[in-house]
Amino acid sequence: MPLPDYLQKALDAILTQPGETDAVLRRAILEQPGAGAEQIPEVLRPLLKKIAERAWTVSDEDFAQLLVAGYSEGQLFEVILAAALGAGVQRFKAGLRALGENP
Amino acid sequence: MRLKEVERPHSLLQKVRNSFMRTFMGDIPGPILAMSYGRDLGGKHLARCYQEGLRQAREWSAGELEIFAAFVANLNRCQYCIASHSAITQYALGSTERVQAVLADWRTAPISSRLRGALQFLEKLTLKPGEIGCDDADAARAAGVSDLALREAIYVCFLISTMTRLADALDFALPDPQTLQRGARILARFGYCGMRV
Repeated sequence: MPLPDYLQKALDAILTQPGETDAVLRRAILEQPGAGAEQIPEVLRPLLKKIAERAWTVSDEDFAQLLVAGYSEGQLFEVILAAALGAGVQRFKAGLRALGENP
Repeated sequence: MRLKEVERPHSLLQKVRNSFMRTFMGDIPGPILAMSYGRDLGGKHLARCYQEGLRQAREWSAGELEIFAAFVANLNRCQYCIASHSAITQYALGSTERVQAVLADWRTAPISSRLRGALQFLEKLTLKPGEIGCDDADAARAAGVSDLALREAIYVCFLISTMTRLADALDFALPDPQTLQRGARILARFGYCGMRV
């Protein structure tokens, strides 16, 4: 069974629509760990690891470092949205596979 | 909110919506700000997913779906989502007793075996998605959970696994108790349609 229509549309949008970040980066973040992992700049990886594994530990310092590194607030939002959506989709697909579906 | 840009309205419609919400709800919930800011990058579609997954399921009541939501939020230690979804059960189920019992220990909470079977599946899916498998689905089926019901529970897991990360990464402001109750009452009555701007 395919993914719900609105979920598929949300995925299509974040993977294709123009934003402040490159769509290639958003795809790499959303699909991590995946083939495009090398597209993710080293400086973003600590924040992405926290969002994936223990989002409750993300701190103001994590953001301050990235703003100093040159990321805009808009870019950071897109990075976070892709990471959050990626973690959710990973679980949706794993759940469907357990049901015997091929998402 | 850690990113101030996300709080700023970006259209006339958002300005009107924000003004309305400040008047009637006391504040603008973080999920609405995030979905609005990310509208063109999937936010407008994602907002519809919340209404679909948390209000339009066929196998579970709104109260049971909110228990799933609070349960996944608790596993992800997201205070914002735990408070929000627990508060909604006050109106969807008549009290927060059941959700509090589930959050304390779902294994001993006074709930149906069907609900417990779904929670067992959701716990593993949330914490160890790489290890969930057919045996886990079979265990849920044995507890009386149909495939459609399990699919609907999985959808909630997706929604809350996504929102807890947005809430904690962006640092959604936890509303005061009065605002929390007001928001919960509105969500229980009207659902999640308000996220769609």
